[in-house]
Amino acid sequence: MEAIIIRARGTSLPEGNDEALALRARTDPGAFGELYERHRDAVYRYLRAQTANDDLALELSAVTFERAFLAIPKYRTRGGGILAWLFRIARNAATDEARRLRRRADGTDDRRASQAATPEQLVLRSEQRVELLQQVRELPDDQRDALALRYGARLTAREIGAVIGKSEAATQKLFSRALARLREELDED
Amino acid sequence: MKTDELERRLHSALGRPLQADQRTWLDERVAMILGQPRTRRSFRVTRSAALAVGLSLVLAIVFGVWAGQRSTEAPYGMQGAAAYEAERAAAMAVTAIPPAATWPASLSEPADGSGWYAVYAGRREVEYNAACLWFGHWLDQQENGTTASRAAALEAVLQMRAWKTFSDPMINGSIDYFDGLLRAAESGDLVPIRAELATNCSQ
Repeated sequence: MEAIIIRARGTSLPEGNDEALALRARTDPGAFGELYERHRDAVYRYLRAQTANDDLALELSAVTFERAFLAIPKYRTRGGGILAWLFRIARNAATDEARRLRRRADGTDDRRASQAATPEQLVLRSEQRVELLQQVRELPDDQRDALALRYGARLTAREIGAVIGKSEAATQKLFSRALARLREELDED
Repeated sequence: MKTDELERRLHSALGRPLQADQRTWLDERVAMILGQPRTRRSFRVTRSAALAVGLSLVLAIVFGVWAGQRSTEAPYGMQGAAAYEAERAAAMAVTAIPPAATWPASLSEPADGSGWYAVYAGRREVEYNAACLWFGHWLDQQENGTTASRAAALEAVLQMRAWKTFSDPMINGSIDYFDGLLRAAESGDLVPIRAELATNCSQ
């Protein structure tokens, strides 16, 4: 039987196309704009799973693409290609933000986080969704990353492995552990 | 809660698309970024380049709506959990592991749903885990074994080169990496094997 791998991705464009575009984007801002368009939603969804509210995820998405735009002239095709490269930037942006928040030891959260808790916004959101996002955010960093890349960015295990520096099998194990833990916590509630 | 239900909720919670106003905000921010110099040095974007960027973003937004609609359609065209479990069990029955080693319990647990499973995913999972066991065995023999047991361990490790997971580029894009590990074992280099065990084989 001939082996076929079907890619799980937010868009239906083939990876090769993506890579050629990335190489062109090193010198062509228009190509970068297209790259942005292809991955904008996935990057946002990934960051949304990592952060406390929509506004912060949006802000970090902009930071991600700004960093990517500044760095792409030096981009070279390596393991995982442009997709892994881009999500590593997003991941670093989220990590930087988490560190920044942790430094605020007085217990006052980020300005945007407090905005997110206004009654008006809470009414607009599904309670179940907010609760689940909260539980995902409370997972260990690597497990949260795996779920965010899987369900937010819709990457395959191999692609996630390229982002987080693990093999496909190790990524699947990590993912299984994350699901099991999350299920346990949900069952307890 | 069943895995299917959990996956459905996760897809719904984490996969919610950008809202129109959010997309507009982000597009404007990124358009501004693209219109700025990449560095603080003397690079300047010409008016025509800025216009081209603006135009490409407009086109990209139109394309994005189309792609967004497409992306909601069956993103995971893979095998189901039952097929995965069957393939995994079949592979465990025929894949060798070191003497006294046992398969990780995770390989006998129910699968996590249907989202992950490409063709040969079950076999690949088993062969990856077996590789971890063999690398652990090889390392143990290098450190504690006899000349004969070290040679036997190396011979066993090198046989993995013929396994489907590590020889078929259609199901594994990391063949070169894996081959590098086998070459390290051949040359008696413990460092890459230790690193592999720490990174990819820890439970």
